[in-house]
Amino acid sequence: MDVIQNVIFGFQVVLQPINLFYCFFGVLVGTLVGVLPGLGPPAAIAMLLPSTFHTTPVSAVIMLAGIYYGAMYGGSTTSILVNIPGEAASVVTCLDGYQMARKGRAGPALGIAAFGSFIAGTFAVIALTLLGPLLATLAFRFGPQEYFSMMIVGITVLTYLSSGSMIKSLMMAAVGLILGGVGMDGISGKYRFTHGIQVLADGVGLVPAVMGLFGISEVLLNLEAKIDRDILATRIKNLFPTLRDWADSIWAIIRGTVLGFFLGIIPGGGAIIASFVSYAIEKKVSKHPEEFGKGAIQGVAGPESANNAAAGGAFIPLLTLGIPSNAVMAILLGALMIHGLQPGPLLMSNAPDVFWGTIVSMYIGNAMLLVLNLPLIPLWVKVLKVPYSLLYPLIILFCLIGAYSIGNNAGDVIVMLIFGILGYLMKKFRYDGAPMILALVLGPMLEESFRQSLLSSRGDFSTFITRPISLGLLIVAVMLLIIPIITKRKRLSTLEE
Amino acid sequence: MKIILVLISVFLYAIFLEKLGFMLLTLLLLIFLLLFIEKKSWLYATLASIAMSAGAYLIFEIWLKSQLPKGFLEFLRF
Repeated sequence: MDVIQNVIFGFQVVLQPINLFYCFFGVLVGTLVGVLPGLGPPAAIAMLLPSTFHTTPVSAVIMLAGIYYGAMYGGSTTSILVNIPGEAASVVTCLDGYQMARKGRAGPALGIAAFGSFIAGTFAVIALTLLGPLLATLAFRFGPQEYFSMMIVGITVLTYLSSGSMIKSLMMAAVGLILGGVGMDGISGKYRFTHGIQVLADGVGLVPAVMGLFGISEVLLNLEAKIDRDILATRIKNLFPTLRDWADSIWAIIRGTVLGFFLGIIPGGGAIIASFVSYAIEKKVSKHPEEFGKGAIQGVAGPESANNAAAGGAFIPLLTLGIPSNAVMAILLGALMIHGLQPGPLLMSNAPDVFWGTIVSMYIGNAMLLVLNLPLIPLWVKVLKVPYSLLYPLIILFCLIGAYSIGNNAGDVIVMLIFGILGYLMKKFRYDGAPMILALVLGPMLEESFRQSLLSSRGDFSTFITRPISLGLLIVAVMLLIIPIITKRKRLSTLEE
Repeated sequence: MKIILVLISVFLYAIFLEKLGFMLLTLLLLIFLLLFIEKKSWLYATLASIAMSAGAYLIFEIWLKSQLPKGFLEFLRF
């Protein structure tokens, strides 16, 4: 079978010592980045990008990819132990993971997170192997109309799934869309909303915004409250979850994996949303919803699997369609182009070593991570034991350098800081930052596809509906919007009866 | 309030980064943070800052080859 041949080819690529090294290094850095709060995959990838210039594209992508899904593993460690999410996709793990740790069950929490992540990650890679080529062929039939409709689905999913006040999330998404409009217009070449500020010429930088919104704001928040950073001194023995734990969590893991994978594929989806949704779903289907927030193991198993599966799934749009589904993918896109590769449906045929090498490296990377995570936890804990007063200047420094190294531009640093303040205020007033960031990414792409579609159809709006794929996607979006209203009506009417 | 001080210092860092250069400014920032905000001892603050600045420099400039701003200390061939 073709697939087997390709996988074997991928292994040949990955098993070269240099690539193994890069893979290992990537997942190691990724885990570390995931562990350290305030430093996330986008920042780390941005910072390490220059160092990939003098290696082959394969090695570069393998390493950068490793950082990404490695961070998903690492983030859970801090979430569980210190109630600080190492990065955004691990926020949900704090809710129950930390509670479990307080009850002395840190070991099983960490263990189930690691195993769940491994299962999910491997599943995602397998799915990627099988679906990738299929989607690449499908992608040839994608015109701007299809891209547009797909992104509409993405935004709808975002609204449908937001936890907390939907109005607030919609507001954040709207702000994100507006911010996305800043910068040079792709089609007319005019500058919009830049007010002559040079930094904004390319739009509000996504990476500084993310670093500020999630990283700096976290530091600011922590400065205020002198919460004691005592890492639970309860000895973390017994990292293996009991059979009971497995029985409780297995469905959560399965659900999280499938859910996460599909959410990862959708542009605008991604690991963060996947983790939140998984948590919400676990809570809904649980027989003991009141346990959530107090240490329900499903609250750890589900989201952790979801975010790893989403990380894997997120590669699909990038490798097959050339569309980045989130910030990290966008940076990877940049990295590919710097190395002279053209992402998109042709990537598979033009650079099969990159395509299959990356996919196979993820199998190996996941295995490495499983081995790394469990035994090295004491090491990560030591890293966290560095007193926060010493740690946060380092975090701030990393963020500053990271923001600067994006474009050698101090303006990016300022953008990051502004978003830091914004993020801090948002957290204080309980507004969710994720919809804003996602809308920020999707907005410009959405608009571009929209205008390209209309340009090619000469202003005929029906083009979105006459093309079958586009129509199908739009129907999905509409259904997603209508379903909550219908179910609410049903609930209200049954209440009245 | 701590937050305001930190914010001001970080903003100043960003503004002056390209003029004064990475090494100098980082050193200053770290010393400021450690000395005034975290109220560590003079010695601790200075030593730790030097260590961290040097470390950061090694990691980012030498190893990762990212171009950190040199500022007016350019002549020292940092």
